[in-house]
Amino acid sequence: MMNDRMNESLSALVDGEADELEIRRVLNQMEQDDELRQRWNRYQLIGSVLRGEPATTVDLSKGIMQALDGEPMDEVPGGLNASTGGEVAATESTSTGRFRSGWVASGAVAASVAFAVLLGARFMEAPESGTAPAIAAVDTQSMTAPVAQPAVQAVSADPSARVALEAAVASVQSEPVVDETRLREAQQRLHDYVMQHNQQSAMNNGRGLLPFARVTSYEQGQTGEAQR
Amino acid sequence: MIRSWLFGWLTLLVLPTAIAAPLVTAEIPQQAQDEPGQLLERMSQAIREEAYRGVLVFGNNQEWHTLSIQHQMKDGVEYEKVTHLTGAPRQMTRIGNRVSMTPHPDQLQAAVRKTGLLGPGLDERLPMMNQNYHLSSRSSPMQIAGRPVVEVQVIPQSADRYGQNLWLDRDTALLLRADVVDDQQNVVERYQFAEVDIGVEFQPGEFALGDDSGLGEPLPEAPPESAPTDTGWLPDWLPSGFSQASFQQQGDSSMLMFSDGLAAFSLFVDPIQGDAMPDISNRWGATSAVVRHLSRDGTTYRITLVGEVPMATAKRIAWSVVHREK
Repeated sequence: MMNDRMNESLSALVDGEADELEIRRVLNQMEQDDELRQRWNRYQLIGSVLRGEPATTVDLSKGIMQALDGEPMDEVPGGLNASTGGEVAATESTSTGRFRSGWVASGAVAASVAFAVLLGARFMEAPESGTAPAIAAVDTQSMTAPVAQPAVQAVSADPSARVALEAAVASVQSEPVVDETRLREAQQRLHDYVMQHNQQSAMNNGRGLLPFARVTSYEQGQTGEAQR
Repeated sequence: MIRSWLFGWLTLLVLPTAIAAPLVTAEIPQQAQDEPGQLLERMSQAIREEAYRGVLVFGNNQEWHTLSIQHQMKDGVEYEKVTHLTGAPRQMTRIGNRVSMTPHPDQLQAAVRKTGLLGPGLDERLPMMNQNYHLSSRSSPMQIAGRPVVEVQVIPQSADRYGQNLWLDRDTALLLRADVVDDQQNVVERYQFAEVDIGVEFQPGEFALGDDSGLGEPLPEAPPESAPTDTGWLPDWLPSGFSQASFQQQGDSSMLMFSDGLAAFSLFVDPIQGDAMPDISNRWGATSAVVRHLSRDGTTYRITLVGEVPMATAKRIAWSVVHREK
């Protein structure tokens, strides 16, 4: 029985909205959890179909983990997890090149990371939709929104997929434009608030240095990020 | 000097002990010493009263930092110095209620001015920690920083908050390692001494500051009791056992802190100019943050929730915030 949080994390990963920690957690959990791995495979399949790409059951998880760790990507053989993705036959022709371009083209995690650097946080949905059952979270909109532009170019002939993608693009384009200055101001304010909370917390409990370490380490983390 | 932060433990742990104090002689039975509540009480004292010098690591899955720490209590005054050994150079020195931070002495001071570091503290209405957490202790075969330890587990009664596994020095009860864990027992944050000397003697001048950074002004005292306790912006839902611990107001911004005796979160509310910004959330180790926006009387308010609670809890609290007329 998969817990709700893991479900949410998996949806976030598929949507390209997961932060690095979340990605690592899902991928680690996936190694031990068959149900989670199968769901991940189904989500990938749906994404491939929507992007008009050949359906594949190549497991992206290893490549993602390596990307996070900054290691060179291994060759990821096609059909690696064919046994768990019974719905659609694996395409044995899937090559490393295909994997790479697929990863870059979908680019969801990369885009999300880039945005997180700017904002220091990721966009969030209201809990009403966030707590919906996992499969509902894989609606076409959230699936394709982060990759709407490249996806449109690669859209399949399937009319239903095309309609879904057009809807997704419309939803992306109708989002309010937020200028960078205001985003930075918002980021700085959140930073100040986290500092204030940690400092207040450090002085209001009996754990001594623990919250203070949090204050100073949080600052260090921010500094490091600003320098990158 | 009574430090307000002790209240979290004091309300539960010290008060019953103080009542029982006349019955307790110098010879405390071994069993009583190993009772988890008593261990936590000793831990709280040790952090404040022991003289120690050590190196500790602190972090989560994303990043780790190394800090050196020295601490002593002399003539009833605490001396504490924390130096970063990784990342940008940084040092914090505290003598009693005066705090200095280099190389940015203004930064902490500014934040202190805003929040009132020694504010009202955790008040006596704070529910007992026991109602929200189950405590257990066991001797551990492990050692931390080369010292034998005893382990105390602080297990939440519900999944809406984190638990903590604490390892205390067997002799002095100094906290040597703390793991903040989620409901799957995944460690979301760890604090651990790599090396520590306890009972050290410090030379005069070891807590001295550089020439360019005088100790700041004494931290502000608690505001008068007649001060307002909130601005009308309050969460409609709180995890069981959390209650308001403090309130500060600075201009248009307000900060409300809630605690269950162990974990704490703060609610910040401030009006923003222009259109609403996107709602966001982020997590660093055990700290979750949620930002959302609400409109009221033509003004957009930014609702920010920051605290050591799981993200799902932080979101649920943040989404329940409403403004109530008084």
